[in-house]
Amino acid sequence: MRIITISMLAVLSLWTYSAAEPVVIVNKENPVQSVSKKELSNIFKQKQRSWDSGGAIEVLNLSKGNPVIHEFTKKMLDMSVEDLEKYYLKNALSGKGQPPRTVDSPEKVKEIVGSNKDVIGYIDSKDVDHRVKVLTVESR
Amino acid sequence: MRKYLLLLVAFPLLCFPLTAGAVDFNLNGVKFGINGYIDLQYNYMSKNPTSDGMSMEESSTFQQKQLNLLFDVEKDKYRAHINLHSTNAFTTEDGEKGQWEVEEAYGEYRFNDLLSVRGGTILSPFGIFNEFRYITSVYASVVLPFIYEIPNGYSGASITPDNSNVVANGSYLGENMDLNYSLYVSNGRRDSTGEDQNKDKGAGTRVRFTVLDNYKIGASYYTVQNDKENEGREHLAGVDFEATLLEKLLLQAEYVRDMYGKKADRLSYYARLTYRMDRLSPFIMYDYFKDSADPVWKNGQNRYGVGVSYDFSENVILKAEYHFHNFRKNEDVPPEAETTNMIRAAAIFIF
Repeated sequence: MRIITISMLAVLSLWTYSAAEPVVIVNKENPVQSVSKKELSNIFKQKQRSWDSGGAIEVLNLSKGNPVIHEFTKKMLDMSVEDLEKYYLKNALSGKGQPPRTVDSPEKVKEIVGSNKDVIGYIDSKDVDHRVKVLTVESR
Repeated sequence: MRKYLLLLVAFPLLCFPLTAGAVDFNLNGVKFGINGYIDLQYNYMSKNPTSDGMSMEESSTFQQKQLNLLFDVEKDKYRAHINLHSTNAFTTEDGEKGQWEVEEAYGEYRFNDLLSVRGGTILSPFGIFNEFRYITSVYASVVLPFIYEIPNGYSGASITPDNSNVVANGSYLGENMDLNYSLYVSNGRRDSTGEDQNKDKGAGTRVRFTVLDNYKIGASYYTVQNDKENEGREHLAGVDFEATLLEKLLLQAEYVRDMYGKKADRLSYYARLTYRMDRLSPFIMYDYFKDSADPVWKNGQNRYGVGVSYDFSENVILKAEYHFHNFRKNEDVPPEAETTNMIRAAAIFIF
């Protein structure tokens, strides 16, 4: 009986589990409304370093322990977190710039994005609040 | 040989924590970063010819090939970068003492993505590897192609340009194609003692197109007025190609021609295929070098290589490779050194 109960609970928990749904966020004063996947990739790979308005883009990453970064790199950048880390390491060692800042929690991401016009980050869709603006990511 | 290999593998694993990382921090909006890497290498070579028609004896060395310390400071559109490079900080064979050099030191101002300007001492943008030539952790082999590392025993200067002093670069990022460019000027080639000959100025350019993220096509050009001994203006031109195939195969190929005198020219090309798995990256390569003015290298030398790179941890990379050299038909090559075997093994620690 106990085995059946545990099995049912396990099935139920898997059924109710949903993977993180990362959304890209910027400051509300940032005029950008949408980005293409290519632009997003260029921004997080630090190839595109300036907004069209002229400000220097500051990228914010979640730490590797947070499941949202894994979903974000997979869905939005088409690469693994490990490959992104290697990419940043190559840039750092070849003098192309230090890796972006990393923070531990979505709360910290919202706090930094909410107070700086040029920062871009990502959080789980359920964590979005009034301090930040969600960008539409176009897959064109 | 066995004790060297054991030392090579054991040293970084015992001495360094496997999770050590770079130091980077943000202070009032100013980003600071300190990185570095150490290469420990074992190198075996069988008899090897020299430009004067002699041959070097078989050699077997273990050394700290390089130690690099990198410092970065960045605020908004300003950045400063210093790369300190040390060679042979300890050497077991000949007692050489190591020495520190400033490999790169420059300030940069980024106007926008289309234009940045750097001033100082900068590795010249030429071909696929020149700006990454010391960072062995970012490519599969330890041995660089002849274009970047002249053959053992060859007495001429390296093919690629010396450091440049002012560089303008930028990129145009399109939906299906990116364009990167660099324009640079430098003090020119150094003389045989390493002294800068300030009367000579060099200038160069590099462009690279990236198509659909997987295909990169580049072209590089450099020119400098050399001294009379080298008979005038030097023109160095190259094309390169990189393609990622089936997501895991990386094909790299380059062709470079260096016209450095009225009659003399050098030619080098290679192709390398790397299979990139999660941690393991085996590769094969073919390489060729020729100098029409050198009696031994006038008909050219082939090199065939095979090897593997293994990511032991985030901070430690182990590599091993074998290269076979042979000369194309040439009566000036010492018969006992027509073919050369080379084995390299390396442990690289990144911090």
